[in-house]
Amino acid sequence: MEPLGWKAFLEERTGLPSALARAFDVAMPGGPRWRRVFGASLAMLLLLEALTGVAMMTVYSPGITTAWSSTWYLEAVLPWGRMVRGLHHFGTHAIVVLLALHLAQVVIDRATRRPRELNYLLGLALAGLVLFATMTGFPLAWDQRGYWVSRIETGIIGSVPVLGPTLQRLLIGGTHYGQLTLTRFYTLHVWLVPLALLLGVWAHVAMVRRHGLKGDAARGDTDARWWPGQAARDALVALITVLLVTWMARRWGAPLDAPADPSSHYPAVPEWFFMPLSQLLKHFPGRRQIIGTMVIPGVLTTFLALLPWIDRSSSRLRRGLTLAPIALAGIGALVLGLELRRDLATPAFRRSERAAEATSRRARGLARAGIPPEGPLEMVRNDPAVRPGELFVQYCGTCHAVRGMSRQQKGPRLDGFGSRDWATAFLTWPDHPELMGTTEIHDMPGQRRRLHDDGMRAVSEWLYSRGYEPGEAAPESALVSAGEAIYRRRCTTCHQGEGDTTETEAADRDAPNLDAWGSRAYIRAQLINAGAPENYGARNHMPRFHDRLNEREMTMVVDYVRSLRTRPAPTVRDEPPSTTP
Amino acid sequence: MHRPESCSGSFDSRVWKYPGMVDRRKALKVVVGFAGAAAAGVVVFPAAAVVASSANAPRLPGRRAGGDDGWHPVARWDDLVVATPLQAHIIGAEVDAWNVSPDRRLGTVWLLRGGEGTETLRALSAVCPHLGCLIEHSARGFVCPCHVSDFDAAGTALRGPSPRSMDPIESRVRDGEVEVRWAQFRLGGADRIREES
Repeated sequence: MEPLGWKAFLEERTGLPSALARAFDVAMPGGPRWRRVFGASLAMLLLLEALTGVAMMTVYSPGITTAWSSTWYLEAVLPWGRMVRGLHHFGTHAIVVLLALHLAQVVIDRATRRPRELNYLLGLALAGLVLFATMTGFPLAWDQRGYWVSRIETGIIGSVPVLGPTLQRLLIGGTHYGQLTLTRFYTLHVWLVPLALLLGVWAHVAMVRRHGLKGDAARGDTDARWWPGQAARDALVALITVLLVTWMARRWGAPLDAPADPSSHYPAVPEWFFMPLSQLLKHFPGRRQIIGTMVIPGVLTTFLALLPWIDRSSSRLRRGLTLAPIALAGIGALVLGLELRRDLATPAFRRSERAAEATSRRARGLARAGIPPEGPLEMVRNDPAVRPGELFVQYCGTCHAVRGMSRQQKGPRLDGFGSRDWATAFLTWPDHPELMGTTEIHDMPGQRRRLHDDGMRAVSEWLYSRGYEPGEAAPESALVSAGEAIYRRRCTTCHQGEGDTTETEAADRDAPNLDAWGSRAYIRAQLINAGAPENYGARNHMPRFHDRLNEREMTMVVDYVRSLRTRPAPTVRDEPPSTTP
Repeated sequence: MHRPESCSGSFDSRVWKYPGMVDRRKALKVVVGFAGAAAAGVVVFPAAAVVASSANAPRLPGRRAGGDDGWHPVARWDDLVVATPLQAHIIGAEVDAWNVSPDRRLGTVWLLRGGEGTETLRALSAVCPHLGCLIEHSARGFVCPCHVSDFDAAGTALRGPSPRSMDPIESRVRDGEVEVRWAQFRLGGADRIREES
């Protein structure tokens, strides 16, 4: 065989060089134009989505306890993870913008007309598919925003008459928006939709090649080709788009909200390109909702789909009139979007947005030490910085007051509980409305007359020393021993524990044992059974919490109550003489 | 060798036709169509069945339907203040496909106390009948923050996109504990349709 170049070698065996040459040989009458570049940039961005998507699939795990965690890991731990996720996120935004530009160019340049009608329809379907891809991708991180927005979107699907409920069940996998929803959306997002897009784009491009690029024959040069004049323009704009997306990904990164919490209040706002639709809902309340969810979007889509057969005139005026509804819809969308932004500028929304951002920051902070197998939501719910306070409000705050947490007064205020000041306040006037006043136990009179200021100070110091832990302000030992002596001699008539009971009969010593007052053990004992004989006895009304709180929660509440001792105790002036028995 | 065309060209099957006889090429087409459809059906049916069946939320075989009687304690009757709605969470085991998580919030209700007697107790689902956001309470009554549906103090829809009033939840008082029977209703419609779960 005679020696040949490598091209000829390949050609004979594979036919590849000539196939490539054919691939680049697309007619473009009138020569290259800048306004024809959007399709190529779209293809480039779809490729970007595919690449970053596959990269993320090597990390992501689609489970309700793992989705957020793996996304966070990708975002915060893996080098370049934030960039890859950012590219995928902002790539979507760029695709939506480019789709609008591509559609506008096609419509304006009459590329919808014979023989391109079907390819135009395919393009519209592909645009819908892209929007569906963003919908299925949005909840995959299983964060608050994705979860709530998607729950609302599937709710809208379910509200469509006749087929809606079935479609919704198929989409979310039953009636519960949960694990099966996530796996279904994942399957759709990484496999079915991309497959459909791939086939669709292939057919779209094949038809473009068959028809030739819709050129501008009036500019002459009817033999012009796509390669290389237009290809260079396409490549340049695609590069600029990708760089822009990269810049946005680097600048902002893709957002990651707190882990999805179905029981929370969340101000769900969709991505900007769904905002007009979301706002439209507000204008059609109640039974008319279907106008906003189906009729108006349906009419617009139908109008776009029929365009090849509606827009047939060559007169500028008539075309302007025909295309006016599209412009009007665009303006309408803009107005709706601005309206939503205005609605969102309320203080209430800002507040919930700030709260959501704070939870998100907390979740990301907690995750740094690792996420437990129960998942990120449990991790946030058991956050030692927040959970104890929540438990307190839920279980204790219905009776006990604490500044900033609860205002109920069916038992003593617990600000400063365990401190000297709290002890002094109690000794001064036990039946003060902020102390035992609202309970049914009123046996103890004010002690100032019996103990005087010095004795009160000493007893308070001793009481403080009972729950003292290293690291806190140390009790004065001289005062403590003086206080203990007074207590053992003068208080143990009623209070149980070691002491001098000779003052009166010891028969009804039923007041609480204070030997460990203010300590963790003491607080725990009250939580387990405040009505135990060594505590408040039969007249106690505080519920028993041993079966309401699990061990971890019990410890959290104990720690929380103990943390209150550094707060200012209630200020109690002398007991009014009239109430002294 | 004969190519198929020449074969059928030189061989006029009409001559050989008798009543009920099927053209050979037609028969082959039928075989291809039937075999293809059958093979595809054998594969497609189970696949489609899996996709469709999980949409019906099958129950875990080891969990009886209504293992408990459905009543959940949510608050103490004494904690309810007349004319001040109290938000309470239904805590129980959440079944989500194969996951069973104990101590989860299954739902949220607003508890209303109308007066002294326990018969004045009413419970309303905090899930907005519109699109399922959680309804909040303010001085003016109930409001859904998502699309600004307003409800009055009794949960009746006033303004906004909610197609119906807030959904009532069965409630009772047992030994001083307020108990509710959590239920979810189909979102979006004017009719209140209970979602079985």
